[in-house]
Amino acid sequence: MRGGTVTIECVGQNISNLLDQIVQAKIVLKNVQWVSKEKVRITVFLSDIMQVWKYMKQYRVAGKMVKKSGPFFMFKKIKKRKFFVIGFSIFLFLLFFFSSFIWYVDVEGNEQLPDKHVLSILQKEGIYPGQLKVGLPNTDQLQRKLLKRIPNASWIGVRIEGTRIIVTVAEKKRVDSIGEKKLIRRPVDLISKKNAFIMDVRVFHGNPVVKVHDAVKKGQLLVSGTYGEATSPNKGPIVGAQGIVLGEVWYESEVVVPLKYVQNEYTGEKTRYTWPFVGPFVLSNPFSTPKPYAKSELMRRISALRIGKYQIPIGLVRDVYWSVRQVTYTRNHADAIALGKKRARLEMTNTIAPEGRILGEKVLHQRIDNGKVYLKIHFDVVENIAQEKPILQGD
Amino acid sequence: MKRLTQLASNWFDLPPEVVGTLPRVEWIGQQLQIENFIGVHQFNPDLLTLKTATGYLTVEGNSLVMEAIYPDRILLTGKISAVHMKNNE
Repeated sequence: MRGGTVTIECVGQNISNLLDQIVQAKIVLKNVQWVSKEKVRITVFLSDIMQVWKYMKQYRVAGKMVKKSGPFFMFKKIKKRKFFVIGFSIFLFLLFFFSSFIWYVDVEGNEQLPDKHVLSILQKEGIYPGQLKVGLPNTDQLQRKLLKRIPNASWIGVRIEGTRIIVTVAEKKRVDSIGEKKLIRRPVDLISKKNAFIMDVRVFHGNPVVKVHDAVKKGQLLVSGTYGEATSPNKGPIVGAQGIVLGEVWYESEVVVPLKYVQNEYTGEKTRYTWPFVGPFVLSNPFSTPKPYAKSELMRRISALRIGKYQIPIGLVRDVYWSVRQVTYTRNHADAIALGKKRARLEMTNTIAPEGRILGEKVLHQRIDNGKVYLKIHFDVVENIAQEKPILQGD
Repeated sequence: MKRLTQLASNWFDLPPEVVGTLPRVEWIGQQLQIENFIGVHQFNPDLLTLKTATGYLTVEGNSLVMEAIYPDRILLTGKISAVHMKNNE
């Protein structure tokens, strides 16, 4: 607050002597400049001003302060405009003061969970309007804590935007709403899909007629949808049958695996073409041949112009032709059989899904003919043999 | 003291401006820096005469401005036309 410089205009006869005296006293001068004849303007540091003033009197040089600059004089000026400065500092203080509070707590992303529930939990964690922003817990910790408190949420995000805290809730999908669909009951019986040997009977509704280890024929009644005695139908009320009956079934599947097979392989060479397009028309050069290789695969990428979220039907089509060569491979016998078994097993699992499983398999027959391996495989599987059959109510 | 520094300069073969009190003038374009002067003898818009250890150094020119005067050097700007020296006997 003491620094500053003063510019003085000196008028007098002995200016050269004055300057010499000042230099001898080891005082730093700046911008020594002649304004006119016998009038010199010098700039002195504020701390040296008294000394300079003394020498000026001694050499009878009249001085006049022209310019004052530096923090010392700034401070003096500020003292004059006291109220303005006070007002401004109060304004700044209030700005910082009020922006260091949380004024809004927003909850978003919740569908089933009411806002009030989330807000009350937040209040327990110490987040409510009027809370100081400084004392807030770490957002990561907060997210973990909230997730513990709200078991219906699968993820919770907390972020601070200025004086607003936004809590994003991602709710869990409720399991029972998916399960309810299965429980629609229809007036049906369950009958057997095919000849089988019962392994397991799981009945949700209805009256089971068969037992485990029974042998059933195709079309035989497994679970009755009529309430009451199964032996005397058409008497009780119809409740509808529902359940899974697992039966052991035999399958025979045939697989053919060629010993020679052809595969397409990329050679690694490629050619790129870029054409502009307008609407459905690609503006390509009609004279250039777009097929550079004997065999190739085309990968087309379209990048269209976009303004905001609107797509404009003008853009570039980028075609890449990948060179492909065909290679013939031969499998040996054992590999072909293994592959055939694998394929058959996969096919089997797909047909008996989701309840079924394979109990055992056996290759019945295998032969090589015309460069192909023919396999006949027997599968012993367990699958759901129950089939719904509507109960016809007599007229 | 003066003799001692002179001696040191001779012994160690140091450049004289580093140790000595001899004036050193550096003239770059329109700017002149004079080191190791003793006092200001005369100052006008077209003339500056400095007292140095070896004599009076005179700078002639137009609209001379002393940008800064430190205890040991002067920064002078302006249209400088001549620098000459009047040596002591």
